[in-house]
Amino acid sequence: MTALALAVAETRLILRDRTVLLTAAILPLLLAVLISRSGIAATAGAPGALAAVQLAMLQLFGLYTTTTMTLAARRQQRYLQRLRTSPASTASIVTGLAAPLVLIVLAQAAIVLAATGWATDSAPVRLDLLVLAFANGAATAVALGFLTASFTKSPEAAQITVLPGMLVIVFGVFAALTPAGETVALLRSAVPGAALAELTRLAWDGPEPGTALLAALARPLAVSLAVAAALSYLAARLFRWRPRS
Amino acid sequence: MTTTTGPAFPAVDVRGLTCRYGAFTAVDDVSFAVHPGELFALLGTNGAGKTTTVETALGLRRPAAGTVAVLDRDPARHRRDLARRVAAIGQETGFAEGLTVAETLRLWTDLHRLPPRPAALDRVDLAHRADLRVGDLSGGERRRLDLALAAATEPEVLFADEPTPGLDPASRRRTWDLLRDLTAAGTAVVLTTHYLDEAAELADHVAIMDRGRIVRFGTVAEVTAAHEARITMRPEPFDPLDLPPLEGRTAIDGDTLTVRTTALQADLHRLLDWAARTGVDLGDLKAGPATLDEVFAELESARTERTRA
Repeated sequence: MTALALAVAETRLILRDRTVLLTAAILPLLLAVLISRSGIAATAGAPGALAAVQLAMLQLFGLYTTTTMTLAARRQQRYLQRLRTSPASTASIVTGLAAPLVLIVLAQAAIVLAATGWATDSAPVRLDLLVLAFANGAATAVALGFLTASFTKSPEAAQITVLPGMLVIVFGVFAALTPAGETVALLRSAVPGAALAELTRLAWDGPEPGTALLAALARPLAVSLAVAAALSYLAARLFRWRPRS
Repeated sequence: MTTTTGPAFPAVDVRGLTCRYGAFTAVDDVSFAVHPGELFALLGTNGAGKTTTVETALGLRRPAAGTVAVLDRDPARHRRDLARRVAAIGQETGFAEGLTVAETLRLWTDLHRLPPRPAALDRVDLAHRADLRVGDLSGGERRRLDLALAAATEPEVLFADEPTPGLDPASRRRTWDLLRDLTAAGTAVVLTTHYLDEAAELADHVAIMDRGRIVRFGTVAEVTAAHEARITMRPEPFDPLDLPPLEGRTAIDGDTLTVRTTALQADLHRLLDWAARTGVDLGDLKAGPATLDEVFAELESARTERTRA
């Protein structure tokens, strides 16, 4: 109930803020379309790779950077501090603030991936796994957004503070799409963005011939869940609800 | 410290509170209690420790020593439980600038699981601004909205941290009326303010803080009674050598005579008697106990002297 009330309020705020609307809704879509026209699919060799890059870009801009930016803005306005003096639980506040952005990116992902499927004449072999990839990536992006917002003084400063996180995610995505040995694969799954790409490609193209789906799925899923949990723990410890006085 | 009857425990019970920022002690061994239906004013200059005291009572920071109980609970450990029963207005909380006034009030009552209470805007004369975005409100209107949100939740305890700066006289009066309504309904109010007239008008008890310590405590009458009363007049004709013996100290500034005294009634009687005997006209005669302003000014002056020394 309280999370829903907060989500409704947050949706209104997003729709009324042109900068956030551009970052959360327009920019990711534009990027996803550009990526699909860039021939990256041919380079990567399979439509699953294209879908993975598109989904990662949507979550990078639509969730990670927007979460950081909006949290910094809400804290600067002391709105977060007001929410902390309300009876709402921390979980309700986090859910209420993040849910509208997650839903926007989910809608964008549905449109972009449907278009990708149509353009490449392909479809995910496991839709449920695609949903799992999205949820896993979203949890990581939101946790990383809260963590980055801990060190971000203002929405303007967010343009700088998100850069390291963006680089990490982009590295993770492209590392995941590059063939690697078992040890390297294990390490790269810990990089935010990598598991999203691995799981998305797995959901779209299926496992390599001769590999069981469960075996291919276990490593990136387990490692990325652990990373998301670690990021959430760090964010919970370091996040500030009040501006620095 | 208080005489109001009510529950077995005070609504706010602060004992030996000490708060530090690194090596700096912002609040030093502060104790006070506020009962339901009582308005307690914390006075002091900037940096006196008022806001830190309120923040600790709200559970926003933990004390270095001492205890704070709000409605018999530790505010730092029972934040959510207390948030349903305790409201705070003032410097610490803000708004989402993009929401309208009505949406902000609705969100706040939703978070408290209360039915919509649009009438709260009427109480602070903001109903005509209901559809305006909060970011477009003036500073005074934002303070009134803050108060409307607090009043809408009908709190058992209200922490009002400097609620009236920037308000026009009518809004300030309306804020005072609302605070009186809340105390009449049983809310315990902790008011921090720079405005001494506000404390004198509203408070059942006042505490004056200086450098983190409470240096004066009591009812307004008790606090002012401990300071010299003042008699001023413009005697005509006036020869200072003719004055009767007085217990208080006299000071002459131009044609104005000021007497500061702890024996107001006796000295006033002597002066009236002297005027009647000698035919002196006591123009602009004023006599009364010290005001909170004078108490405050005296404390400030003493502090400045100590600093110079």
